[in-house]
Amino acid sequence: MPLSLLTPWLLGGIALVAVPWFIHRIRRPEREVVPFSSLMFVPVVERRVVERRNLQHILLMLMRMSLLLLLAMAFARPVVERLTAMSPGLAGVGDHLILIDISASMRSDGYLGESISRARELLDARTDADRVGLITFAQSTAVLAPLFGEDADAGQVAVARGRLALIEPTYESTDFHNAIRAALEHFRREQAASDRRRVVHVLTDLQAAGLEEGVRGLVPLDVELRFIAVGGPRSNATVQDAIIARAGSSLIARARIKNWNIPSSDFTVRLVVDGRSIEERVVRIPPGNATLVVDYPGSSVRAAVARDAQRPDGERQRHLRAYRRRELVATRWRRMELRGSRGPPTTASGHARTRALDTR
Amino acid sequence: MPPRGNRAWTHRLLVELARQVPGGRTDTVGTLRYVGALPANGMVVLISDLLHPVDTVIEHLRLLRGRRHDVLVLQISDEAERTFPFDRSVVLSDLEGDREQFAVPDAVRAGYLENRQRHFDTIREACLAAEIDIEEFVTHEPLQNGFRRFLRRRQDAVRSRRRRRATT
Repeated sequence: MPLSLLTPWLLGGIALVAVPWFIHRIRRPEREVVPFSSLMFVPVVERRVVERRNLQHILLMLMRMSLLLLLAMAFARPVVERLTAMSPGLAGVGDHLILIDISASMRSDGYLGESISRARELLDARTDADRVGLITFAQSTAVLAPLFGEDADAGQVAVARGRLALIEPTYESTDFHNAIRAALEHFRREQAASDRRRVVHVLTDLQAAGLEEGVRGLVPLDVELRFIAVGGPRSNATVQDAIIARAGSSLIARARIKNWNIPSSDFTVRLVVDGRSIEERVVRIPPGNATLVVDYPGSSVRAAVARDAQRPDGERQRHLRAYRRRELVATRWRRMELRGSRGPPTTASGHARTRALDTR
Repeated sequence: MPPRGNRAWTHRLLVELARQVPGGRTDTVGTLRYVGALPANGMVVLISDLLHPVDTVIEHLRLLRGRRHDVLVLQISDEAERTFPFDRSVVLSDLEGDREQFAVPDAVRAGYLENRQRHFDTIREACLAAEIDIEEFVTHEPLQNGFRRFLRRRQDAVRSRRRRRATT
């Protein structure tokens, strides 16, 4: 496992190992000459005694230097990296679980296609001794090809490869905790295989800044967690969630907007229904996993819903129910979007219903 | 100074002693020659560190006793000689010669103390056999302490000798 340092600049303390060496050099004694009444009783020191003393001095110096070296290393805080971003390696025989992100952001710029290609590469690198499972995740998870099970096909590479074609993106946001838990639960079902290498490969567009620290703590030591990033590096802010809620007799569109790493500035969040901009709001969200809830109350949403008045009431109600279940987009007749930007020039953002907040 | 029996001579003797500056080597042959020329039946007080070959020392003392001198040996020791107190490697320089010797205290202390003990034990045994009084004076101790101890022992020895003669 690769080793890294949390505070590598403290390795500068290694320079302190020169101190014992320097002291050893400058304190090399000019032997003190002591007048003594008679040497007749003083035994002659054997050469090996002198050599042993010199050796003791050198060992003492080396121990002191080692102590300082260890202290410097300790202050640099070495850690064994269990989270290897962008690491497509798949060497070794074992049980491999491939998690593919199918959240809404994966719709962007062919990310899902790239993700599937990377998954196919992973599968091609497998040997017959390996077992492979395939899970897709967004808010929820779905096992497309089980790693274990009573089915004879379980764990086979060919099965997982065949199921890749079934993957489609959703409009859900990403819940990594849920995905990692699902993967670990999958491993837990097959205790007998505990002597095999266990690897979870997560193919996602989520950048490191968006990765919740808690995910690391979820993974036990005997499971390798490999993140394989698709898409290029980018900032990460998103409309994390959006619902239609009742407020008395009227409706409210409510959006939760999250900013992981974009320096503090104003975001323009626009409510779009059926491709038409209904209302927009300027909000300020500090960076660092910060969340802000924005309400669009009253008439605009009602107007947006009422715009399709020729449709039967029952169908409208279905839309509303759909909204309440947070399945916001891709209904048969209409879609609601929350789009955001930080002002011109407007370009695609990372992680949203449809490119929610421009951050590039 | 030759021996004399008057008080003024004693005073001169003490003045000369006070003027003496230690230095040079011990002239064993010369000392023997001088002492051998002294009248018999006297008192000889030998003040020395006795750091000479043990055979030579014993030979001196027996010679003196052979001339029926009452011999007192006042052995002078330095504390450093008794304990070898060094804690770092040193080069020891012989005060009575040009020799220098490297010493690692931890390695030589035990051997040094053992050699020294054996040397003085031999001398003491020889003194005992020749009825010579010997007492060690350590330089860092007050002089009167050593003398008090020495005189008390000598007094006891004289008494016991008289008692022995009386019984025989």
